[in-house]
Amino acid sequence: MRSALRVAAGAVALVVAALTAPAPAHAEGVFVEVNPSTIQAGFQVAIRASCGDALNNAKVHSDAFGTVTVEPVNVYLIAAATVPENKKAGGYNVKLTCPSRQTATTTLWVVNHDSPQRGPNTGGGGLAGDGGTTLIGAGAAAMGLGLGVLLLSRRRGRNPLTPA
Amino acid sequence: MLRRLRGPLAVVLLLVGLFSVGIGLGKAGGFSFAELFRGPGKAPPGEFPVLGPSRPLRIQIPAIKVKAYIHGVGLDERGAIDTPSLLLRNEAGWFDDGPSPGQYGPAIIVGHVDTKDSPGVFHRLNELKPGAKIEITRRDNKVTVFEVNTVERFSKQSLPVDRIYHDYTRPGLRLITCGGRWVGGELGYADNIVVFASLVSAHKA
Repeated sequence: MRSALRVAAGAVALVVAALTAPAPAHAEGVFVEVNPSTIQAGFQVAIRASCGDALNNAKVHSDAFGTVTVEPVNVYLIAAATVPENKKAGGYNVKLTCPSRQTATTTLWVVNHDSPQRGPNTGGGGLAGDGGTTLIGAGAAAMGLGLGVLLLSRRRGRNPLTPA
Repeated sequence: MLRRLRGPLAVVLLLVGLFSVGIGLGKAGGFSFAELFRGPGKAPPGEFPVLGPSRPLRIQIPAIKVKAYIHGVGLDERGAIDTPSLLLRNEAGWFDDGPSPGQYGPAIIVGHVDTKDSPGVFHRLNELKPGAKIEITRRDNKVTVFEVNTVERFSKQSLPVDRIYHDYTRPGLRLITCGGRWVGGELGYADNIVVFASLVSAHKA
């Protein structure tokens, strides 16, 4: 009876410890993820994985970047991989193989295009106007007219700014 | 009576004329009122969903009353992103070699500011303000909602390639149209207006 109680207490303590421990999102289980999950060929991605624990190195393979070794850093297995520039666009499987032979997979989407160095020609010119020529002309005309009115009133011997 | 008004009239004419010449000179140099009243950029939120690939079908921007269909475009012979035919007035083009809207990386959507004689699908893009929402419906029946971060204008000859095409830190969107001065010929308009936006949510259509 007493030993049964002790076992129960032990179990409760374990559960409490498990609940209060700072558990990362994927602490349990075997997983692999790639960030970003979509990448332009020639760029690098970060791989984060776990084999349930993160104590030993493991292998991650993908046709997109070959085989890399993920190494324990804090609570995850981590590595970086570069997708070669000539890799064809598409979805590639990424497979984690743990020392325990457990596996996990995810998908890496590769896009591959030349970076457009020039901007697209997105206008036909219908709204282009004349680049301000009309406004400058009209403005100059208005100023000329104003000046004329000013001179005219001056000639009549009045100060236009302080009308009597 | 008329004589008394002459002085103020002269002053008003002078001021209006000066203002008009100023605006005209500004326009000749690529000045735009929309840019003056746009306000500062808005940083994207820290959390975002991530979706798999799926073609975009429709785009909606309520703030500037855009509702248009989207079809795929590639690169033209000069190495620039191709544009929809000028005859398809209310269509935008998605650069289908790049990411889909919702995937990591920048989804690129181009649209005309005008055709030969009328406004194009993106003719009010320059009026978009940071924080405005852009909704894109995809073929998998999901709607991706993007939020505008900044609206910027660049010379077509010196686009910031890395900022527009190479930012894979989160799912993004770039809307591109024409702006600035009309120079005609091969170039058309001198500049591109680029809207930088980030994915903030996604839901079923």
